[in-house]
Formats: sequence, C-alpha cells, structure tokens
Amino acid sequence: MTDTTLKHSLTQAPALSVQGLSKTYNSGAAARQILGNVSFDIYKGETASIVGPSGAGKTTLLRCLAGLQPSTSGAVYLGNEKVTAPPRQLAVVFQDYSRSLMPWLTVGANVELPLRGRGLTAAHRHERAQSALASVGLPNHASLHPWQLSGGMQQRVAIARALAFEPDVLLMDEPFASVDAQTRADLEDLTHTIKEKYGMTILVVTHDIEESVYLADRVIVLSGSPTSVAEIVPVDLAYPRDQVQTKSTREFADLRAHILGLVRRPAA
Amino acid sequence: MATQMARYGQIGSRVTTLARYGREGTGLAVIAAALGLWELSSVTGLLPGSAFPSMSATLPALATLLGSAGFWQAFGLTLGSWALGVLIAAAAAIPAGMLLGRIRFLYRSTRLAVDFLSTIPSVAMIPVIVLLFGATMEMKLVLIVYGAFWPILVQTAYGVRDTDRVLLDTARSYSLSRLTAAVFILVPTALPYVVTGLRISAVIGLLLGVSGEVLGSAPGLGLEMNMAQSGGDLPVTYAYVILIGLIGIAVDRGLNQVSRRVLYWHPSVRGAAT
Amino acid sequence: MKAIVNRSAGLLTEIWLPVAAFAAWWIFSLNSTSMYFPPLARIASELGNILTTRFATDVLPSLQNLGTGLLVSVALGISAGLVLGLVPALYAAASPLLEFMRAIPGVALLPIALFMFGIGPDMKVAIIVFGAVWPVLMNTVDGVRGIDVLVKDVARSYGLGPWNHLWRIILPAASPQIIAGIRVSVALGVILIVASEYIASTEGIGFIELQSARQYHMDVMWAALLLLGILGYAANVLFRVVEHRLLRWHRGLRGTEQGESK
Repeated sequence: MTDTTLKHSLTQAPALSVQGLSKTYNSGAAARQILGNVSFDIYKGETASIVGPSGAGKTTLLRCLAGLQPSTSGAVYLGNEKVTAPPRQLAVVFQDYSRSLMPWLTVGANVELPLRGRGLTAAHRHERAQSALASVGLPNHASLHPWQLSGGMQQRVAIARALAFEPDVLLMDEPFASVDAQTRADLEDLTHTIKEKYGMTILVVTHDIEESVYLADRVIVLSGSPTSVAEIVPVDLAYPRDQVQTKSTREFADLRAHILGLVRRPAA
Repeated sequence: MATQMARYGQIGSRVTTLARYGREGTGLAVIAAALGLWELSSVTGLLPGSAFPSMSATLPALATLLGSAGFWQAFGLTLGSWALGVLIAAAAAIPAGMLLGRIRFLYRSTRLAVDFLSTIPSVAMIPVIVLLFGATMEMKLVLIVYGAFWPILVQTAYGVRDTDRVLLDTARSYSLSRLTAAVFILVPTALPYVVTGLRISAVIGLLLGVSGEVLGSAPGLGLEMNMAQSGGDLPVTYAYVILIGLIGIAVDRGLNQVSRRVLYWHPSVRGAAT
Repeated sequence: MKAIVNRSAGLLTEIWLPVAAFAAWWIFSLNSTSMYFPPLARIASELGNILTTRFATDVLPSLQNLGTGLLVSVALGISAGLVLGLVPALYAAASPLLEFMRAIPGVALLPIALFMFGIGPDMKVAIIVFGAVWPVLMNTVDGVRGIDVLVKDVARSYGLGPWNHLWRIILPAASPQIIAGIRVSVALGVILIVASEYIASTEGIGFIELQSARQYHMDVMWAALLLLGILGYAANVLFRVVEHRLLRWHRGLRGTEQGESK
C-alpha cells in the first residue's frame, strides 16, 4: 500500500518543499550557524519524520517551516506558496503540552480557539471540536480543564486542537518526548490512526530513532554542524504497524541501525 | 519590589490563607486567651496603665463606638475613599501597564522614571498635597490614587511581558486574530499579575487613606482616632486601632476570595483547592 | 564595536525621559513666581544646603532610626519566622493574632506609640519595627514551609546536625522568600520613618519637610521631598545589589528551568 501511494505521490508537486534553508543566529564574531543548506520535499499524504542528534537545530528548522521564524537564506514552500508567516493550511503540535494549552480555558474551548474568526457558528465550532476530541479518544472530556488531565491526555488535546483546525500539513515537534513509554506508544499508534482517518500530510520532528522509523514513510536524517540533510531514508514497512511485531522485524532493526550510523557520523 | 512580588507572592498562596478556615476554632480560643492575658497584665500592672488601657475598658468603648452614628460615618468616609481611590488607580494603571508591557521602547524609556516615582515613600507627598488641597477628601483621594497606581502599573506591564513563548507560538501558528489572541491569551496571562498588583495596591491604599487621616487630618477613622488620642482617651484610641485592624483583615480576606474565584485555573490556586 | 553601539543606544532609551523631564522642569520653572512651584534651581541649592548644614542634625537621625528599625525588624522577623515555620502547631495557634497584627496599617499605631514611648527615637524605631516586621516574618514562614521535602530528606539522610541543617539547608532554601520579604519591609520602613517624623518630632528629613510646608518655605519643602524620594530609590537600588549577590544560585536555577530545553 505504501509503495503505491508513495510512487503516486512522487509524480505530484510536493506538499511542503524546503529549498536551501539556512539559519544563522547573531552576526559578526558571535555568529553561530545552526542550519546549513537544508533541502527536502514532503509529499502529499505521506508521514515523514525528521531525526537528528539533540542540539542539531531541529526545533529551529520546525519553527522556520511553520513560519514562526524567518530563515537567513533559502525558502519554504507550502504547495505553491512561499511561507513568510504562519500559513493557514498548517498546524503545529508543540512538545510542551502544558505550556501550549491554556490553563484558563476548558479542553473544549482550547480545541475551539483556533476556529474563532473563521466565520463558523458556535454550534459548528463545537461540533468540530467534539469530533476531533472523539478522534483522539477523549469524547467526554470537553468540559474539564487541561490541568485535570494526565500528560498524555493533554497531548491528545493538543493533537485534537490541530485536527479541528483541519490543516493540510500537520507539524509535530517532539510531540511525545515528555510522556512515559506506554503513553508514548499509544500516542504513536494514535498518529497512525489519525493519518488513516484524515489523510493529512504529517511531519514529525523527533530525537528518537525508533520512533522516527515507526511513524514514518520516510525519515529525513539530519547531521553535521551546521546541520544539513545526511540522507533521506525510505521506510517500506507494511501498514498497519504494530508496536511489537513491526519493531521486531529484521527490516526495522536494519533501518534503525542504518539511521543510528548516520546520526552518529561526524560531519564530513 | 513589585517584580519580586510577582515572583514570590503571586496570588494568595500564603500559608495563612491555607491554614485559615480549618483552624477557626483554635483561632477563637487563641484570641480569647490573648484577651484574657491582656486583662491580666493590666490588672497586675505588668502593662503600664498610662499607655495601655485594660481589655475590660477597651471592649465596652469599642461596643459604644459601634453603636454611634459618628463612627459609621467615619467608617464610610474611610472605606469609600479607599475603594474609589483604588478603583481610579486601577482604571488608569491597567491600560497604561498594558501599553508599557506591549511597547518595548516605552517600557525601557519609562523604567527609571517609574522606578523612581514608585519608590518615593508616598506619605512624603502628604505635606505637598495638604497644601494644595487642604485637609479634605480630595487630598486623601489623590494620595491613595498616587500610591495605588504604581503596583498595578508595574505588575500589569510585567504580566503582559511574561506571556509564554509556546503560547505565543501557538497563537501565531493558528493565525489567531489580534483580538482573539488578546482576549484568550494576553489578558488571562496578565490577570494573575494584575490581581497581585490590585491586592498590593489595596493594602497600600488603606495604609495611605489612614495616613491621610492621621497625618493630614482628612475626615475618617484615622482623624477620629487622632482626636481620641489627643483627648487622652486610651480605651477609645485602642478601640479604633482594633477596628482599623479588623478592616484590614476584611479587605485582605475579601480580596483573597475574589482572586481565588477569578484565578481558579492558576497553579497556585488549583493546587491549594479542596 | 557593534555591541558598544547597541549598549549605548540601550542606555539612551533608558535615560532620555528622566533627563528630558528634569531639563523641562528646570527650564520651565526658571522664572516661576508660583508660590507652590519654585524654580528647580532654588530647590537644588536648598537640597545642597540640607545635605551640608543639616546633615548631622536631621539627615543622619533619619538614616539611623531607619537603619536600626529595619535591622531589628529583619532579625526579629527571620528568627520568629524560623520558629513559626518549623513548628506548625505554634504557627497554627499564633496565626489569628499574627493576621490581626499585620493587618493594622503601621501609621494607625502612631497614636499608641506616642502613649507608649513618648517623643523620640524609641518611638520611631518601634513604629518601624511594628509596621515592617510582618513581610519578613510571613515570608520566612512561607519560605521555610515551602522547602522541598526532597531537600529535607537529603539533609536528613546525610545526618546533618541541627545547626548545619538550619544554616546550610533551611535558611538558604528559604532565602529567596526572605529577601523578597525584606524588600517589602524596606519600602514600608521608609514610609514609616517619614510618618513618624511628621508627628511630634523635632528632627529628621520628614520633620524638615513638614515644618517648611507649614512655614511656606516651598523650596525647602520640595528639596526635602526630593531627598526622601532619592532615599527611597537608593534604598531600593542598594537592596537590589545585595539581592543580586545573595541569590545568584536562585537566578541560575530559574534560568535553566525556564530556558529552552533544546
């Protein structure tokens, strides 16, 4: 299934295209180049992951993709549009769920918030929030406050908020880095379910190599300093994937070892 | 001073507040014991009679005060000018603080001036204001507004500047409109600080109101107390001190309740709940 | 080079307004004939006059009484706060009285202080102590009670003696709160020294201010007021420097907690 979708996709224009992106902080003697000439394409309907060692500027890259931060040179295209400000067709799930959800709003109001100013009626907003919450397995939690939920549930709320926004591309920044292992596995599988149900393009930034393979159709491996793309590794593991079975296959182990080698290799 | 309070004194996480209600019984017993000790010390001469009235003389004086129309009139004057003063200060300081918090140039330009003006001991204004306005309600009001303005201003500006970066990123990435972001993110973020500022200002306002009465002879409880003192009436003087203290407690508790209601979602409140 | 330019631009943003305000005051009041608002030039020369001829008789007593009052407040507040913070039962018993006492605005005690201490430095110190001890005391209690259980457990598991426990663990751990309390106490102390000098006093900066206001020597009154403002500001700045040195570890901790994880 993956093979055919992917080959089909490759003939289309990319959903998200990163072209020669670089980012330097400060200037003069204090200058520090974080990203150096990063280029890759993400195709419509695929799940891609970006993996790299900590300190590789993954978050900087994601903020540039999301239009939250300008790059020093190069460009990001969403469809045919150059990204200069946060685009409407893109939603971000941040790592820090406890800070990205508003404690003063209920779960429902948090999910509905981005839908304001879109000309939707209150009832319509409510309905969309409800269905998004149901998709992440929290159908009865709309009237609670985020701080009454566990960390994993809070991250589900953040995901529901992104789903209700109905973006073409969903960016996730280390989305499961702050939860325990079991919750993390559940949330990874939730990501697969969402992708199947909504068919959106998903880009996950992670430092966890296993997670990058398990989640994605292609893994974009970053390395070096300043960071650039070391290799783009296709993942031809069959769907539906399973935490135990998929992860115990020979292919999975090979991919993991291969990527680990790329991440560890010092820059040429 | 104010930013420090923003860090450590935010909202009423005071241990006193926590401990308060469950211990009302013990509290009453302790107060009764303290009153008994007071009486005992005066009767035995441990407390000099020239400076300390006995409890048995003070409490009746207090009861008589509570029954007199003059007391309630003074009470109204003290509390009324306090409330009005803090309200005017808040109405001016909250918008000003938001401006300062949002516009970096403005914040930095005014920082020294705000620092200086807010650390001038506000009672030092009394002679000037008395000269300009006389021993009047207006004088007292000017004093209260001046003193109450700064904590609210500084806290509001600090609160607006303190908005979490992840929240701002969230707002931007979902392309929230300015209005939506202001209503749902900036205002709630700043609210705990504004409430803290209001609470500091309320206490300062009361202090300054009483100062205006005691030192500047503006009408109110402080003036009545002054007159009792110069008449050498110890029990009535002490009764006034007790009543003013009780007003202070009522103000503090009332504001604490209000801030808990408004900020039920804030970590310091929700942790302490139940 | 660029850093220097940036820094001086920053300094300029900070000081242009105060400088402009004083310059405007100076220029616009130069030929002032208003009784209430004399020329700033005259106020400045009166300020110099106070600082030279009346330094020993008025400025010094103010500073001395303020210093003594604050020192007593801090010592009393920290020690009482430690005891109350470490013995919850005692705190529970005392808290209704504490709540009442700290709710009394310090100025309201002036009449009583007159009964008790008469006129003189004792009365002023007493007023400062009674009004300014509460923030230190309450913050010390809060700080001691808020110490992380883990920190206490570590101290106990290493078998620290009570003295070390107090000096190396409890006091440092509570110090951010205590210092925040002292800062409030300093502000209250300045208010109370001025207030006490208004009532039945024959010396002090507050006395100069009130006396000159009564005699319509407005230039002297403004000079005294300006001096009090400078005093309040200087106390605040001085305190900030002390705090900065004492709480270096605390700032570092907060920095790492709040900083970006990546």
